[in-house]
Amino acid sequence: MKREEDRALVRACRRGDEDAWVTLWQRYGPLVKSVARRTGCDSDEASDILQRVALVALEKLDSLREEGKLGPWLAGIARFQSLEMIRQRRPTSLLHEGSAVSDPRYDEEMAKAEDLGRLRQAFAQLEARCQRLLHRLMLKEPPDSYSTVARDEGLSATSIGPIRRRCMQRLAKLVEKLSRSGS
Amino acid sequence: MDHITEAQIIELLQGEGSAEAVTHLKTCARCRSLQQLWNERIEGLRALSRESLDDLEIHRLRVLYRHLGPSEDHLPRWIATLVRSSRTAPAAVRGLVSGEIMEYSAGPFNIMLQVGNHGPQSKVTMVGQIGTTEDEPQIGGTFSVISAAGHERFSDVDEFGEFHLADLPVGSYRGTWWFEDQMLIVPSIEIGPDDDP
Repeated sequence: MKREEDRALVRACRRGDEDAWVTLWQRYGPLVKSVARRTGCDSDEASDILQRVALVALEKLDSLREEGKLGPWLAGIARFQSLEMIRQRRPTSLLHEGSAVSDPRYDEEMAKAEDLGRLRQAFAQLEARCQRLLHRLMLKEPPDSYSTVARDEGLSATSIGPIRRRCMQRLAKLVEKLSRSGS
Repeated sequence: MDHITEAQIIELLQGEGSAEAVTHLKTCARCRSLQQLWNERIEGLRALSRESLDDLEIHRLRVLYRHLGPSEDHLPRWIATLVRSSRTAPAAVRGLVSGEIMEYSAGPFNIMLQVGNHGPQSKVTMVGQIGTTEDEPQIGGTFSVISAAGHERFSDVDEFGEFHLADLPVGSYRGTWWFEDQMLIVPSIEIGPDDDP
């Protein structure tokens, strides 16, 4: 998935393409739910946040100027909606008064949510082999062994470590590039 | 030693960092901060990989788009906004022992929802009233609610705009009113533990 694909996806959604809409949420729905969970929502609340974010996105899709920044944009909406939900349900637990925006931690937490959005976008821009390797070696729980991954990928076990390092470096460069471009 | 590079941070994450880099981290808050950032990023990606969308969520997203997304039909549709809400005293609302009254506005329509229970042994009930500013109002159709957990209830709306939904579990709901070619959505109706005896 490249930024151009995200742009094409957004434009298709604007034209009334329902399948594009579903594809968009299959790609970014997990990000939205993850942001909700990391904010403190439970599983049911995260599912509700998904619908709320989808509603906001539908209302504001026409005004999204930079279509390549879909990930951070949705992550930011998810973070805000999650904080508001928690405030409404448990008004004394997170904030003493006002809305989520008045919390001094708000800017920092929003920045973290948007960073996760950039990270998600950067990960998706890696070539497929890097995505597979990093998922199996670092993200999967429990991670796969070097020997298992080497066997499945047709590589030597001694090459897995250097390849993983290069993939992570590429990921870091992509994140930096997205950050510099303001995503 | 100068600050360590992001590549060196990544090597450290994989347990392959140099002794020099490890020593530097002990004394450099800035590089420790960068290491912490990448630790959080990796944990964030792990959390992402644990999440997925189930069939019901996908279905609801489709329905949302179908009803509110771009359409050649340009059917009238409104999204209600909450105007006011208040907890009810036992005598304030007919039949309800306790609960909440919520009033919404959506275009030419207004909706009042009374959510509560009729006694210690009863489940949560929603009693609704749809009104309009039109001179010769025609009200009818169906009002439905669906929660994030998949609980759904339907009710006909009578000529006076009234509807009743019974036996509502605690949760966060979205309400939809359908009448002829019109649609009105109440994005969020909360039924909290206080409403459920």
